[in-house]
Amino acid sequence: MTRYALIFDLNRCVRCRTCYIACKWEHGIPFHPRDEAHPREYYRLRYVSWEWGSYPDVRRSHIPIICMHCDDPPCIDFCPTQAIVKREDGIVYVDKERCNGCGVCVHVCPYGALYIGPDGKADGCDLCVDRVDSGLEPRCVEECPARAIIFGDLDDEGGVFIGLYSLGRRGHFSLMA
Amino acid sequence: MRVKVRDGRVVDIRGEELPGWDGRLCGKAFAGILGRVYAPDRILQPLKRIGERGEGRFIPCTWDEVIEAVAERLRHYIQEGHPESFEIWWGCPRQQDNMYFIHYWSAVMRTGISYIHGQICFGDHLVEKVVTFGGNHASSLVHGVADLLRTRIAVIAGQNFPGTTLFASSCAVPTYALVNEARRRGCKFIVVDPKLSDTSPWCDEWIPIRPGCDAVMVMLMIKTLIDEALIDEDFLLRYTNAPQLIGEDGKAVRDGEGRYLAWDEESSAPTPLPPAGERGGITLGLGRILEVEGVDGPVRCKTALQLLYEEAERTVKEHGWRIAEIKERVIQLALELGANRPSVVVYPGFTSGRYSNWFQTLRAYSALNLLLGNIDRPGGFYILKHIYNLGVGWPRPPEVPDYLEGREFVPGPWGNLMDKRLIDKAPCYKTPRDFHPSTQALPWLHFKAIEEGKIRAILSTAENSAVTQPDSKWVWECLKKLDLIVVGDQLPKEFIDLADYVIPEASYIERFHLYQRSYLGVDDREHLIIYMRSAAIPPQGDSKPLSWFLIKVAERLGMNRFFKDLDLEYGWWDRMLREAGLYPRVTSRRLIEEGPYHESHPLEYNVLFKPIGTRSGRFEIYSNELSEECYHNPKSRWFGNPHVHPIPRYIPIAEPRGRDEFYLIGGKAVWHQKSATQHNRALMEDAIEAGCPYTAIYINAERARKLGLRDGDLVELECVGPRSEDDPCVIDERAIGVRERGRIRLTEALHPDALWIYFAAGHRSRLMLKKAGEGVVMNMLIPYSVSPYSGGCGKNYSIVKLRRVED
Repeated sequence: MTRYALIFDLNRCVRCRTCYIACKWEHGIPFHPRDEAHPREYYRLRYVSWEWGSYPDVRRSHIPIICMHCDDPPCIDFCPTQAIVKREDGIVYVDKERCNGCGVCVHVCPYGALYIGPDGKADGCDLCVDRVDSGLEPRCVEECPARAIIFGDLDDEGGVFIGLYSLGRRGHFSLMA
Repeated sequence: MRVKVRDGRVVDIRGEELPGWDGRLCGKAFAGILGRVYAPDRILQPLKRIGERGEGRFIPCTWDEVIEAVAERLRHYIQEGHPESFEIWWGCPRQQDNMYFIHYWSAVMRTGISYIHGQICFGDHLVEKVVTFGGNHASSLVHGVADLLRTRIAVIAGQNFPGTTLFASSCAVPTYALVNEARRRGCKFIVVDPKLSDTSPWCDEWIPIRPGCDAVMVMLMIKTLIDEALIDEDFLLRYTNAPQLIGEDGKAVRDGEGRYLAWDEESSAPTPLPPAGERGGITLGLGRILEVEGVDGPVRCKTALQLLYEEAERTVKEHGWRIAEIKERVIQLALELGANRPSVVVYPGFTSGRYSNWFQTLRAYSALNLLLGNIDRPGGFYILKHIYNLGVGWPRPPEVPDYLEGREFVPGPWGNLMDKRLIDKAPCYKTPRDFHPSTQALPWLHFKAIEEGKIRAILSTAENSAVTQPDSKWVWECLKKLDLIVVGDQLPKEFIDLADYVIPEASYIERFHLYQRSYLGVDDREHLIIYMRSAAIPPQGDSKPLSWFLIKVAERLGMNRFFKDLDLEYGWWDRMLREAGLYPRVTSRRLIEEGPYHESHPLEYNVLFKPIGTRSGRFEIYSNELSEECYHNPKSRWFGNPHVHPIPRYIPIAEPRGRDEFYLIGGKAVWHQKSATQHNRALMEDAIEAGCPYTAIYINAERARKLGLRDGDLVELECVGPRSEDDPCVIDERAIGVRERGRIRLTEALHPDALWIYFAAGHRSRLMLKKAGEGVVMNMLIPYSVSPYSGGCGKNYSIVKLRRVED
């Protein structure tokens, strides 16, 4: 079996925002800062950041958030049109033909990783499924200047990817390979 | 960058397959295509102003109309005998058309020209490095090129590190790769900055410094290193003028032949300072007074190092309180640096002129690095050895008629040549010099020249001087006095609002330019690449390269003979490649078709790969140039001025006084870093900010609470300083009293004395994105200050009073 996943190595991430822009470029997601004519922004990848501690002992954290391709995705359970599909390789994607744009998936996603796009359809990270099917890596992985995003197979036992994943799961978060 | 084009439109881009890039690009590369080349509000036809200057009201016009308007003005100035009344102002060479051609055009037409942006970018930093290290070593050190794979501790001051640091090259991608590899190998990164910026939190430590107090911190480190005998004595004796003898009057002591002296321990007598690389029997003379027999009797001397130590002692004693909260940590850090020398770097950051004392602050940073012996040593700073001299590509007779006769051209920014009599150069070539020849521009002199009617027309490209220079109110008032303003660009900005004519310039993927770049790679080698930027797509709409426009103006003035046979797409660059000895092995056409020319070389540590170009032939802790040219020269306008004292020193800057007063400082956003991106809609979404609003005024949370302020409050900032009575470097106070409004963002990651905003985040042009108008125009709140000799323009030097206002 294959179970695709991404690792974001936050130790390597330099917060350059390339993944945000490259993702939107790859998928043709519109860019526009909010104004009266553009009250919403669209993105498959967003960031969560926060400060902890108080001056001068303060740190800042920064995490990219995308669809987590859950083992048991609630978006699939709640989608009234069965428009969200989880493939055998673990990739969750929205079938735009079936989506009616009701937005239930957006509300039930525990990670806030889905959105309704300008076409009125739900959308979220599909790990660049077309690229993956062509033997390529997701665009954010290919472009990350810090090489902080790693694409791999969680079922590839003994592989580098699963080794990195295990380190992260044990709380080491020292994934620099 | 490789561009994939389908039906004349860019559909994809990729980085070059070069070490460090490996096909990758940073986000700004994508944004350049989306938010500039294909911006929906890109300027695609010539425009003519119909409203008042500053209103931003235009109607379309023809190229011919603009060409004639410029030619008419220039013809008038030529007939008056003052073609220099017309000036070209240009910005970053990476963003504009063939800068060599623009200088050639200016040389032929005898107009003025100025790299007006350069001095607020890195001008005084380059001066400092040339003064301290000499011209052969300065460039790599300005860029902070470091052998990071062997570095144990890297201390970086400011900069929103690493997003705008240039360790590897002036591109983010190889820098990130190098920094991450260094971290993997154990290098500890420490950032010294009033703000824990958006991109620095992965550093191992943040040391919050009070604005303007870096030199106090550095002097404490210097004192600690010397007290604990952690300095690199051998390096100091071989390569620096630390052992140079300085008399009680503060001047260098010389022998009868004019040679600088050191003290020979074996003979207990002065001896000429040996050539760099040799140490002989000379001493560093710490704690000693040495007597040299002079013409009028014995002269009591100390070494340069001893004087530095005494200055450090004095600084710590008198000003140590300014860094009280970090003092213990700074001492500890100095011990760590000393123990790990020379595999350490302390880099003050690339950008210059942060405060009026920044030149001496940079000198202090350099002295600290010299004590650590980390110049061109494993794990220290690295001097790039492989760079081609490409020249400027100017055509010469008989290809064109003689245009150089009777005129003297001197080095200008980025390898260009400039007429010695121009505004930026004349003060640098008089005797004694007012400013160092490595200054990039002397912007305030241009503004004064406008006020005096000496400059009457400006053509600006790739720069937004209307708001990117400090004291924008002054600049704005000056610009309004001009007979003619022509601005070339692709996107709206304030300078366009002021323009009489706007010319739609071809973008960077619609024209031709040759570049050279050297950098260190993660493969532990020095790399050199030469590459062509070429027209991957035709100029959009009715846009044209600026060079096309300038040639048309010249034709209109009957000067076609200088331009008619020029091939700006290939021939110009081939001439430069020939100058470098690369042609025909490397041609511009081949660079376009086959990709960059690339060399790589093993690292070579050799301080003396070229002579050290200072007056002593050694790296100078005591600057003989500053002494002889300025501080001890009664004819110099800087005679006795502490800003040009030959020993580095801390000079207090003006300070906030009331509980509601702050330093207003700025820094770059890693995803959004210069004038070229200030209107780029692909970089202006809220989501990309990751909770760090681009247009907010950041304030220390505790300070805000004491003032009863809450996150998101609308506040007004009023400039209250620095005034010339507080700091004689201030030359214009028009900014005092100027008010700007914005919303505050509370943060724990900021020194309590400072407010912080992103550079170039705030704008007033009505043609720009609404969001761009939400920020504070920082330069409106900065009185113009000029550092003696280095010409630093304090672009972070503002004191503001903050008050809450109702929405």
